[in-house]
Amino acid sequence: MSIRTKWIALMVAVVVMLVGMQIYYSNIGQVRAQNATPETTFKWWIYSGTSSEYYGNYAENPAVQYTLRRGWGPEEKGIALDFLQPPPGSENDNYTTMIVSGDLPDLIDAVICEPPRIMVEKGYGIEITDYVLANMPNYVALVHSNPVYFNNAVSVDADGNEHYYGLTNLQDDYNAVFQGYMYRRDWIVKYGTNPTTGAAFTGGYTDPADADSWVDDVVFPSGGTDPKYISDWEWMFEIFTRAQADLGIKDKYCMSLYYPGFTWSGGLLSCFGGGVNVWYQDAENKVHFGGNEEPFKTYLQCMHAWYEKGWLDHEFNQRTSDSFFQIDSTSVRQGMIGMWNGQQSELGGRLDMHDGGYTEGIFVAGAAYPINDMYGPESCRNVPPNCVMGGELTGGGVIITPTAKDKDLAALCSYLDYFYSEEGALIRTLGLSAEQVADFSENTFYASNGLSDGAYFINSEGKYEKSNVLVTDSGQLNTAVGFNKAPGLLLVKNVDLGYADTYQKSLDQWLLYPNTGFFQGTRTTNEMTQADSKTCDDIRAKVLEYMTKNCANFIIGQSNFDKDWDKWCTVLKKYKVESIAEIYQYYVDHYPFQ
Amino acid sequence: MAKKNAYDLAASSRRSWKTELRRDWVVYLLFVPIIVYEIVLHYLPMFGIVMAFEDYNVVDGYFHSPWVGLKHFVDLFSGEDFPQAIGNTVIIGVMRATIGFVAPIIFALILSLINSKKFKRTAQTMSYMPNFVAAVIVCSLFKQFLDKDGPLTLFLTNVFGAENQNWFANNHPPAFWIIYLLMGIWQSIGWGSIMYVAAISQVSGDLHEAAALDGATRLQRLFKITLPSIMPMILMMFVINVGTALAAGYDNILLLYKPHTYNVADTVYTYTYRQAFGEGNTNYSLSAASGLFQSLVSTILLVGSNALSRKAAGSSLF
Amino acid sequence: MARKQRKKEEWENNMVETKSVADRIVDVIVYLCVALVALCSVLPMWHVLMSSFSDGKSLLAHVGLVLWPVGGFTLDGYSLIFQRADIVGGYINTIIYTVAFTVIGFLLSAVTGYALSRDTKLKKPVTMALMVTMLFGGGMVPTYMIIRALGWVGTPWALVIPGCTNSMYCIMMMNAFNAIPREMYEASHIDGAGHLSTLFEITLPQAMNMGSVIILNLAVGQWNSWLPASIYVPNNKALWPLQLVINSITKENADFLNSSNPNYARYLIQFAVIIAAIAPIIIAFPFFQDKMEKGVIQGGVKG
Repeated sequence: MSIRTKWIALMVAVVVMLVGMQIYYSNIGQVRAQNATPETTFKWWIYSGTSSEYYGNYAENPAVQYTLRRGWGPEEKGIALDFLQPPPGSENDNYTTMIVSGDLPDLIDAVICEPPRIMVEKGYGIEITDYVLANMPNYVALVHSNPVYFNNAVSVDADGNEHYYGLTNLQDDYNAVFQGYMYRRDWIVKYGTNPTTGAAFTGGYTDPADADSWVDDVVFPSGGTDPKYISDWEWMFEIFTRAQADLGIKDKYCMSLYYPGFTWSGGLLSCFGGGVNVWYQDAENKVHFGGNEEPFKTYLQCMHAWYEKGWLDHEFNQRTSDSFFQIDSTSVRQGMIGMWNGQQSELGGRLDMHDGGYTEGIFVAGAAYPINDMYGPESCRNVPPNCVMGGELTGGGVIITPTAKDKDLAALCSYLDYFYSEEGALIRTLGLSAEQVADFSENTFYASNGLSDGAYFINSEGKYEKSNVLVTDSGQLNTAVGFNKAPGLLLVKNVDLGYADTYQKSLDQWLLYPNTGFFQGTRTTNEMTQADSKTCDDIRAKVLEYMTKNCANFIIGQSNFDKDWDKWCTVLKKYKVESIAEIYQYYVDHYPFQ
Repeated sequence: MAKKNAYDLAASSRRSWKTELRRDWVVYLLFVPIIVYEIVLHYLPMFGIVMAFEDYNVVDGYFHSPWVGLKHFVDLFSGEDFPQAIGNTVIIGVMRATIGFVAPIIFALILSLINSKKFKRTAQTMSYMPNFVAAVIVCSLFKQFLDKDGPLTLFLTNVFGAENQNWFANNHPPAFWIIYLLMGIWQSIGWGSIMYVAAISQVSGDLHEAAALDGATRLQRLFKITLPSIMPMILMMFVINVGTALAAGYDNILLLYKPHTYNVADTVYTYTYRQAFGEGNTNYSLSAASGLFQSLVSTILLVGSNALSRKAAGSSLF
Repeated sequence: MARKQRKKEEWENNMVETKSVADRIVDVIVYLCVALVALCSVLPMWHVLMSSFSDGKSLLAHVGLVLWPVGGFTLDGYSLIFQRADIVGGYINTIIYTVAFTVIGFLLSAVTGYALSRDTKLKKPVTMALMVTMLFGGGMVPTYMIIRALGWVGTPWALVIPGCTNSMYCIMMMNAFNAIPREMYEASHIDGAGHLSTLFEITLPQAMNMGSVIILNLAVGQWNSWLPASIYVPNNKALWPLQLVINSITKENADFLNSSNPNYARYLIQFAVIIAAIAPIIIAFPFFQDKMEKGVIQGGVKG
């Protein structure tokens, strides 16, 4: 073959390949709606879907398909949903591209966007008051049933008119949190003694096979069966140190800490009589900047003292490779640490590797935030924490964009209203019931995942209890069976998620104190005007960056409290933190989040 | 005469467009694809640069957002940490444009000294491997390896007696700079050398032969024959490298730095990224302004290094 | 001719037989250096490979280099990723994209390089225009808007055409064409060959050593690429290339420990996907290298 024929053949091959590609890929499409008109086909951007282990496209979600079988709205029209789901890890880029290029879908999952009112102001959303009032009786009733719902879901203008700018998710009770401080209670039983009688503690598993069957007679210095004060924690740390010495665990510590030395939402640092190290409101609803106040200084002094005693993780500010809250998860999982901020999955005996290592016989229990009773001036002592990541009753939801303006919003709204009814809320929260699964036999998802009896059942207490298949699932089946991307009501009160006892007990500890001080991301800041919001966010980002860079130095002793604290305060003052507090004060007064 | 005209390199400028097109219409046709490609995919999107001079918002779009002139540049340059970011960028950029640039060349030269074909091939193939791994993964691997209990840290501690530490958390210069440089070299030394290896293999064997007969040792031949013959390519790559040194390759730092290492790791790219895409206050205009600033500096560097190369070696990229 | 041949033989014999001490020292150093680079390149990959064969729970607690599977040899990580239907589609898409991208990109670079190497009125302005795009860009969103206007969003064309060539490749090809002796062009011209046949039949084969470098870069670049796909075809999983599938598997797994009943084998996924992504390249590479070396040597001989 001459070179010329070779090249001609190659060119022909290239053309054939390109044409072939066009044909091949034009046949690979998305799931298309059958029963809907273009008017009732909605593109819905969701922040995240379900693990592609179960299905590639969220539209294949059995709960979505079940709810779309019937018609909606006054004319009972068929609706089709086309879900746009960004690849995991590029959600924010995807959102940015969508927003900045103006290539908007019909509905936006309100996870990373700005508050609905601002979205409408900026032209990414539309006001839907008329449709809500006409087509969403369940939503309107719910919103008016509770002031917290109302405050977060409805904007009231100067004339007293109600405006709906988006749909907000509602919850009928405070939600479960999945993480918090936890400690090795088995070490306390083994190495501690009763603080009043001096007697050894007894305790252990009643059933070696059950990771939650722990019983003991531990009493803390403050008198209760759970740690409550900083002094209780220090008592524990002494026991942990003894345990580590006895077991030969070297170079380890009692407690891990987030890497900059504080948690952005408060937590431990609000146990010292203040709130967060940025802006918070006190019991009298007065806004403070906490970063240069006595409570924050006391917190740092306490952490410094713990650091000096070797109780704190000496590398807390250098943990760069652990993905789980930046704590030292390797040591935690090897059973070398006494206390850490961990996940629900680490509670009870779940970390026991049964290999004769340090995890042998481990029992992990959740601890509430400790009230300061030892450090700083009187004003910083014995004040319950006020800025904690607790549950919130509202959050998320959807925003309807201008793209959908000419579509059949009546049908859409009446469809979405379904998820604010008990029946729809169950589908949203848990998934399909046994009857619904039987009724929907053309879809085999439930049957093939061992859920022929539905995702839940009604137990002896009359509560909705999650199917055991879902409770013991090690993957993400839980998110695959229900339509939890829908805006709607999340059922908490009447639902038994099948959590183990240890988790329920830990949950009580973690939720012991309600959040009364931290207003960032609540209605208070959502109601801010664009200009105010930008001013505050800019300064906030700068202040947090400064703190993140320098805060750990106080804890590790590189900065000293006599000399450098004044400098710290001066730098923060330069950011005009007081004037920002005044802006926040206005919104705290006018739009309280509680 | 005709022959001379055909290959006189300045001939085209003396002819009119009409004659040119009639003579060489095929060549002009060959320009069409790239011109279309560049205009559509590179030049049309450049309207985005106007963002740098306005307070961009989506409703008003690119052409109706309020014009603010140089405000974003002023914001950028007056930032408190900007000088530090510039300093780190220059240090890291210079390290990469020198040591990082020379490493693959040295590797290619050393490879040329190897006689065993089998060994050479195996070593080459092995050295390409890091290039096949995505940058995100490389970063997480390095983080793992240099963590306090990472294999590399333990190696450094046990063999060289270095302090046991998380190396990425070390904010004393020049630890971070060296690690970042080595990471780049690890990733690119094999792959970057391909081009030079290809060029070296083209060096005429006759030259080596003649030199060997004159009694030149292998090392002498390396410096007298091999190196000069790939010099034009080295210079071309150098000019391009310097031109892109400021603009490219800093995104990985986002995955590697922490607030307390900002003093050594913060670069113009990461600094702008934080300013523009930080918490809740996405500022596309600032990011565009920073991009434009980096482009301008790169242009100066590129033109400068090109002139330098022309002056020093008589060959230049353009 | 004969004398030259004899001299050459002498020279070659010389090389083999009389190696001086200095030569030997140089040899040792050279071999050591190369071996060290090769070892450093491979060791982390070996760590990943062996980690991927380990037992999840034991690996989680393991400290230091993994030279051998920790806690026994398992394939759990691989069975978890190959359970998924989308990974096979990912392989197919990646192969198609890589081939198309490389072919289009190479042809475009070669044609442009040739055109730039000829004496035309466009030589200077186009070179300058190319340099400008190397330094200035409109950013991600404006590019997205143009590609949307072309109707390419949601189609594979957005992945195989943008970025298939760049200024550097064009200039590299131009240099390769420039390096070909002028006599070749003249001879071809006298033979009555047009520019197309000069380009494809006479000069391109000579420039193939640079061409192979560009082909390699294009192919590996596209094989490893996932960002364009995450921007242009995010919503159609059927179009996702392997790297995007793998990326999403890794991200979905990042918090597997949150589950109330964590499956520790999921810890292996992050290692298994790295191997799954690079294994095809590493297996295919030696064959390609063979071809490339031949091409390079041919080019060298002819030049």
